[in-house]
Amino acid sequence: MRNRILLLFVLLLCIAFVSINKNMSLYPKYFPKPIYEIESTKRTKLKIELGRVLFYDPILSKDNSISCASCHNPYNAFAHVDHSLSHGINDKIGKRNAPVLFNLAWHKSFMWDGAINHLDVQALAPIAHPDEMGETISNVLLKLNRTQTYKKLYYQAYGDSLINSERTLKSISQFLLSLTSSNSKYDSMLLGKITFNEQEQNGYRLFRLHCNSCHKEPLFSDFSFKNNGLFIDSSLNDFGRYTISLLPNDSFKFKVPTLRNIEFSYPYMHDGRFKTLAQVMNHYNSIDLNNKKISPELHRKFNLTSNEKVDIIVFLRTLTDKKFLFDPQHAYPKKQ
Amino acid sequence: MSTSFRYYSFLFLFFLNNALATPLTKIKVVLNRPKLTDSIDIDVFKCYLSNIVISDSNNKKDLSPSNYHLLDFANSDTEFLFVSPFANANSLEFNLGIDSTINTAGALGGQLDPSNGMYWTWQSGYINFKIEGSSPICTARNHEFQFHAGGYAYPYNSLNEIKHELLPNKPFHLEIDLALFFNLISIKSLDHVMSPGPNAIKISKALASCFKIVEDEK
Repeated sequence: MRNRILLLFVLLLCIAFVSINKNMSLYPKYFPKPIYEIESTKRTKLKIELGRVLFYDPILSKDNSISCASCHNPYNAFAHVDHSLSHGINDKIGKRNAPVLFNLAWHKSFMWDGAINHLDVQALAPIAHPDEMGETISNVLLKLNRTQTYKKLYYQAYGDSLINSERTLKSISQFLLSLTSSNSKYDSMLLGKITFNEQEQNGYRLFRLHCNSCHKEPLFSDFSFKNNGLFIDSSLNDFGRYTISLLPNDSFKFKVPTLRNIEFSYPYMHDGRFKTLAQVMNHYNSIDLNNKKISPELHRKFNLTSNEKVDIIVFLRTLTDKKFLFDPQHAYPKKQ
Repeated sequence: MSTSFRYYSFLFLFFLNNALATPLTKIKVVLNRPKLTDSIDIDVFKCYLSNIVISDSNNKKDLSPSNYHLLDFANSDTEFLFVSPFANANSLEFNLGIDSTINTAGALGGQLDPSNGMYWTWQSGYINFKIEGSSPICTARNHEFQFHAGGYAYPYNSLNEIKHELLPNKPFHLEIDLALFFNLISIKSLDHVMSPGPNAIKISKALASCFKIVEDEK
């Protein structure tokens, strides 16, 4: 009998661990230490759920028409499929492509130019931007305070129904931090559960030879800012990192994006100029070596053959994490 | 600066009664806004004072548990009451602005709540102070000038550390002489600062130099 109770206890403990793993999205051992770590006591399912409801709610925008999910669609790894530039209220068009949202705990900064220094304050930018949500955080708080649903959700998450910006922003952070993508074929290969086929293996070899210095494994970015040789779009005149650092050397540098789920997060680049991965391959294969501003990692001839380009793309598809993409826990919340 | 500019200052009154370490020993910050008759009209003056530290010859002490204070002259609630822990305080130090640690700490509440309108959204960071108004000599649209100073990262850290010696046993107040600010900044040539950079540094230094310790008249 005593043994049974002990067994039951161990079993319950296991279930508890598994459920933490499932809900809180802890990361695999081969990931580095995250930059944003929430103490486990502060990380709760109810705060994540509140953040999720806020993420999908157009109440954050001035005319209640645009939510975070408008440009960050869960089925595209939270990118904006088919739209080169982000969209906002009154059909306004932004300047940049909406990036994917997952594994954000490892980012040193946010936005293509690193303008945002902490995940908690990231949401303030799209809320206030006139081409995105065009709203103020104070007005968002007023609107949230007028709804019984949110009073209840804040009460459940924080123990009282006070709605302030700190709680609002931190709940969004908790939801965003629950978005971990680490169940791709590549991850299974790393864990020794499967082996790559010949083409994937060759693509992986070429990737490590040509791409890995910036798109560093296992997160597939070193989160630095680079000039990757794209010609300047005069309709946007986007100076990238320079706008923030004011250092002339940072002109036209943009943050290296992760390549995880890249198959589903088209179009590509900071302005979404490439629709396909083949176009991306062709860009890197035909870099203008006379352009001295280009990142030193790209200052060489790649000379990739057509087959090699295809092999790299086949490898990149192993970074697709369908479990993450179609996880109902991240999707539009059920009616409260 | 135009000669028609009349004396214009804001006063923070730090009443310091050094004689007794009783509950009467306090530092009071109140707003005193003189009436304007000159050519510069100020609509907004908001600024953060932080890490206010008072010392005597042996000790140093933070003046309040949450040492970040947003002064807003549109808001009559901008009155602080600090209790001085020392009978013979001899120096008062504080920062004009918010330090880099707080600037990179994520979402915070209270005086540091981003909904206070003193936080940039397009680029993370607190606005250390805002001075907005109008003047006929300003050539910008509607003759309006708008200074939002901030920036915490090298080389454009606009925080200014301010230190003033105090005379023992003398009540004093701390004054911001904005007339000096407008003498240091020519709004004919500079009427807008809205981002971190050399101009934010320039106006921050200018405002920092406007703080003065003035002895109270008996």
